[in-house]
Amino acid sequence: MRRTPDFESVKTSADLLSVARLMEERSAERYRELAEAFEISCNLDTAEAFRMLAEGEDRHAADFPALVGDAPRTIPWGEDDPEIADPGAVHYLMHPWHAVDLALCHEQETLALFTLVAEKSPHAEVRAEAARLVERETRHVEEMRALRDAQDIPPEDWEDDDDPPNWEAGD
Amino acid sequence: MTAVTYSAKDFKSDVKPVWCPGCGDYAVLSSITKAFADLGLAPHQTSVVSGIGCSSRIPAYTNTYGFHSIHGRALAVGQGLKLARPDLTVLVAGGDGDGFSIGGNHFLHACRRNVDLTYIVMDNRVYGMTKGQPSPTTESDWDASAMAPPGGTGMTPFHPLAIALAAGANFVARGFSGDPNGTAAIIAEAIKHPGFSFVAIMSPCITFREEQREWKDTMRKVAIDSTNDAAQAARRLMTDDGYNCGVLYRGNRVSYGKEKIATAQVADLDAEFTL
Ligand SMILES: Cc1ncc(C[n+]2csc(CCOP(=O)(O)OP(=O)(O)O)c2C)c(N)n1
Ligand code: SF4
Ligand SMILES: [Mg+2]
Repeated sequence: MRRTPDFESVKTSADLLSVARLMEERSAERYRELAEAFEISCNLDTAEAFRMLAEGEDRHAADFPALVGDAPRTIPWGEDDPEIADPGAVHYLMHPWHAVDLALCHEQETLALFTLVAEKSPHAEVRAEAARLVERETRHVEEMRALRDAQDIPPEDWEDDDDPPNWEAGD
Repeated sequence: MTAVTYSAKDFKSDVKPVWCPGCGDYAVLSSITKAFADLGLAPHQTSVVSGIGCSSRIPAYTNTYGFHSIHGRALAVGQGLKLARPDLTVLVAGGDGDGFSIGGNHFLHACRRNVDLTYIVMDNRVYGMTKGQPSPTTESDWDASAMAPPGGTGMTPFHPLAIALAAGANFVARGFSGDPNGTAAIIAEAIKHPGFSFVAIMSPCITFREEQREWKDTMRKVAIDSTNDAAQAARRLMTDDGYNCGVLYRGNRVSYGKEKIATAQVADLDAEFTL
């Protein structure tokens, strides 16, 4: 269900910064939503990891200058704003390591997206701003990789549930 | 005085969803609240009515008027609400079990009655809340649950869009929870379209139908060409495999009740029941 980025609609450096800020805000919201979902399903360690990720995204959003102006209502690359975690990528038994690994994937996708904007935008000003965002996202990727590597690696059978919700006949 | 505008967040309540992490219904909730905000509505102008099921918990999570009603009966409540309060935007929501099994008859007649409301079915082809029984949209050979008969039900799945079209719905569409922005746009269009608007939203139950996580790769966005010719829409559905998204049909029937709106005051009605 990928959409092609709409390069044309982001015309100025300020437009791009608004979009970048909105992306950070939306991922913070999404990670917070996941933290709540994991709290409700009693996987508190993973809930805590998502809460920490949400706070990190809040800080990333706050990095942008206030001048950025009104946030656009939608992101020109649609539903695939890369930092929004994919609901299909979570599992009720997942570990903090998986949560941070997911966040790492999203940082990498964001980096790939801004790299594309830095190459393909028809506006020179936007290309230059995107190049600065590429440097910033490269740092985020490195930080997130270090954070993931600091988590305990989940055991191989992390998905096994002795009392699974969907038991099959014969279980 | 500047007009107050509301964001999607203003339409979310403080109640935290109890859905499983990863359930598609989270994204449907976001699409609904985004559609309300994009239409410039205010919470007091909107209402969400549901039946029973995981998906039907949605009125608790929205900051609108709401009614978590009885299994299969959401459309009866929603139509009544719209006729009594035509100024409200009425959105009826629920699951495939709620809407097509126990509520199947209400669905048929709501389509042909054509009251001006929007009906969203979060279709996961299973009864999620009661732990995995097959629903009318479940594949006939699905038996990956102790709750399903060995070898599956052996029954041909119900085609909600075809039924809605044949029964007289005035707007027929399919969305996907994995495309929240696209789905929000469809919902907004459905709300604006007069008469009974039906939107099936494919929303994976990742707990009882884990394989539905793959819908992310199988659903085709904006794959349906829209028409206002019901015969043409019906022909398009003949080749529809259930994975195409978009607006299929925009009809032009006049909504029910324009001339039948209640004129009595609630106080007068109350008086009739005074002993
Ligand atoms: C009158 C009545 N019959 C049966 C039930 C049990 N029941 C609760 S939810 C449900 C099915 C829900 O399936 P669906 O509408 O697809 O919702 P989902 O949980 O999948 O979102 C059933 C049969 C009930 N609550 N009330
Ligand atoms: S059981 Fe299925 S439908 Fe219900 S909340 Fe969990 S994933 Fe969603
Ligand atoms: Mg269901």
